Amino acid sequence: MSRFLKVFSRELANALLLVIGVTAILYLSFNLMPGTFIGKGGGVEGYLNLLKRLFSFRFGVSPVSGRDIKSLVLPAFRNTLLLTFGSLFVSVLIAVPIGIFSAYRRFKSYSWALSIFSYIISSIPVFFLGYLVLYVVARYTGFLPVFSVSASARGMPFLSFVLPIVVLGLGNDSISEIVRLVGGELERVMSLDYVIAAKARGENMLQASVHEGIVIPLISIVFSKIPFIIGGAVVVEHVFNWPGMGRLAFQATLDRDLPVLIIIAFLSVLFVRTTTLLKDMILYSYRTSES
Amino acid sequence: MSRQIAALEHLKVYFYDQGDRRFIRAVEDVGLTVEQKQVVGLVGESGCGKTITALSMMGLIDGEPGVVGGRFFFRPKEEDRRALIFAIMRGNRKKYDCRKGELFDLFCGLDDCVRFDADPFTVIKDPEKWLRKNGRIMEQMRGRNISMVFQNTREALNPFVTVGSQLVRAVQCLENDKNRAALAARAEELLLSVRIFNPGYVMNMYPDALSIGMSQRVLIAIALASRPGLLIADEPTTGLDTTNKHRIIDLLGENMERGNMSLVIISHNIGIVRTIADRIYVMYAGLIVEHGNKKEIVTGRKNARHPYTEALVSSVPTDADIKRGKKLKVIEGVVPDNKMETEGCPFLPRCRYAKGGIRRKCRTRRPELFEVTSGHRIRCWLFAG
Ligand SMILES: Nc1ncnc2c1ncn2[C@@H]1O[C@H](COP(=O)(O)OP(=O)(O)O)[C@@H](O)[C@H]1O
Ligand code: SF4
Ligand SMILES: [Mg+2]
Repeated sequence: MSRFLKVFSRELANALLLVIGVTAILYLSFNLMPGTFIGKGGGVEGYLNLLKRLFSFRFGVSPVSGRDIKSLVLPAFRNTLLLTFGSLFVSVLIAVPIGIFSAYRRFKSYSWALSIFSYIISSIPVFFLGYLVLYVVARYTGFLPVFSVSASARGMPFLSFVLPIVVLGLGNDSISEIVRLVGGELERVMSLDYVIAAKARGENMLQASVHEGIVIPLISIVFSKIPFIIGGAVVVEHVFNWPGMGRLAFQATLDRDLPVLIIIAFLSVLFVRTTTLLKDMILYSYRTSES
Repeated sequence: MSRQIAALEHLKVYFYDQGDRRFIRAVEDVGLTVEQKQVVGLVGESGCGKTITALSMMGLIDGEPGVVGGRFFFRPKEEDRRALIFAIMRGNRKKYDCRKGELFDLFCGLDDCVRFDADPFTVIKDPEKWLRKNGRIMEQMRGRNISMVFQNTREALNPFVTVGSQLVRAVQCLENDKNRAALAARAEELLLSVRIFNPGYVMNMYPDALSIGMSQRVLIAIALASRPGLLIADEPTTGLDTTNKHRIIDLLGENMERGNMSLVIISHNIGIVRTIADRIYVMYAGLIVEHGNKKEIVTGRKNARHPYTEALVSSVPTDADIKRGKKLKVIEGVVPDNKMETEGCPFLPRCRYAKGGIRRKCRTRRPELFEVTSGHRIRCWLFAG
């Protein structure tokens, strides 16, 4: 346990350093832009001032829109998280069974079709898939509008909520990667001695290889995909009018609303680095459970 | 004569060497029969094909083409017979003679998946078809009917799961009891039966905290959990010190008696096998070169043993030899490389007896298993006719 704490504090320090480094770069580059925000032009002191505000989560009021930044950003942040994790869940739900199926040697001749399917799905650009789905749903089901959370009370609330998640889940390129990784790892693990030994006793091979063959590769790939999925979320938010961080950032850029932008950037870095930390610690505790 | 539980006939296992572009004949002609409550020993130097033989019986060969010939008759437990017949019949368009009394051929359908070409020598096998067919059959047999303890002790336990959970999973293969307490109690009982006296503590341990001796016991306990009719133990004592070696052998013996189980024990060490086995099969370069009951093999009359067996037995020191400080005998020469196309007797390069008129025969024709006395056969021209 004490070893866990040691590793945890080391990783935490790493994460903090990264967040500080990124905010420093943000500060420098934002100084070059027209507009104003907390600590702008204040040199090192201004930067420290900004850091203090960021880490105490006192974001203040946007000089452009005159609204409280926290009440603007946090709901958007929550919506983006929902979209990100929801779509990851969809990807995993589709990819893992295909990966498992393709790992079984006795089904090799059926599984290539599924693998090809996963490649095709993953190679369709998200915006294209988004408009395609919108078109098909709007045209053939008559549920309208399908693209606005605010208007959803009149349309199909469920549809407007689920469609973006499904589209991002299908269209981010993680499905084919999960299929490849889980399929490959599972196939490797299924030929390890302890799995063959379990099979020799008449036990389920999948149960014997689930930790090393599925859970561990899945944790590492899912967490490392998060930054990219956030990237894809920006596009989907636009197509589906989803009130998330991507749309907020886009609007803030148009408005030259630097305080909002810097906070969005800060929250994104914080979030991404936190998930990485989480991943490392989960994988670490998995490995040490062996000893 | 008591009832047979398993009869392996003419097993052939080949692998294809991508680099050299030729077939490796890992096992060429192996047959063995096991009777109920009998201990059968399989001995031979490393690399002679013992593990491959065992894995073939389990349907666990990894590599192409793998099993290409032979039949494996097995008597399932009463309650599993229907499921086995169903698995054998499923997908069979032709009628097979897959049955011999109460024994069923677990390699049924093999001939349909394999084709031999003579010139150049090639074996064509449909691995997927075989895997589907044999997989269905073996799924019914593994665990409750036939089970195996692996050679590589340290790597045969799942490093991510506690000893207790692994035992419970194995117990569940026999009786799918939902009651956790009952399962745990049965797991503890199993650990006690392999003389682990603090089962509660060991159950919560992860495998890599166990010593080799402990892992081996745990593995045996896990294999016994499903009360298999036939247990194959591959080198169960390798890597253990002498005291532990004998304890493991005793354990296997005890549990065999108790569980109405037959045992195939595999070892490169004939000294270990002869303490427990009723019948011994001696293997050399993928062939059975001699088999008979223990007495005939270990303390046979002079000139009534295969030259290889003789060398093997005399390389194990007796107590008297150790007292007198006698030098250990070794078998001169090296094990032939299986890639070699052996036309004659594979033991020829190391054989002391291949002299005079017989030598030409040894070089050009492979000897069959000649019967010396009932149940004692030797693959050597010295014993022909
Ligand atoms: N997957 C494989 N591919 C090619 N050759 C193999 C494979 N597995 C085993 N062999 C060969 O088969 C022979 C028998 O091996 P094995 O049965 O493990 O010997 P042992 O009697 O020591 O258990 C060895 O010579 C080995 O090189
Ligand atoms: S057949 Fe010939 S070479 Fe082979 S063991 Fe007998 S005597 Fe030796
Ligand atoms: Mg071996």
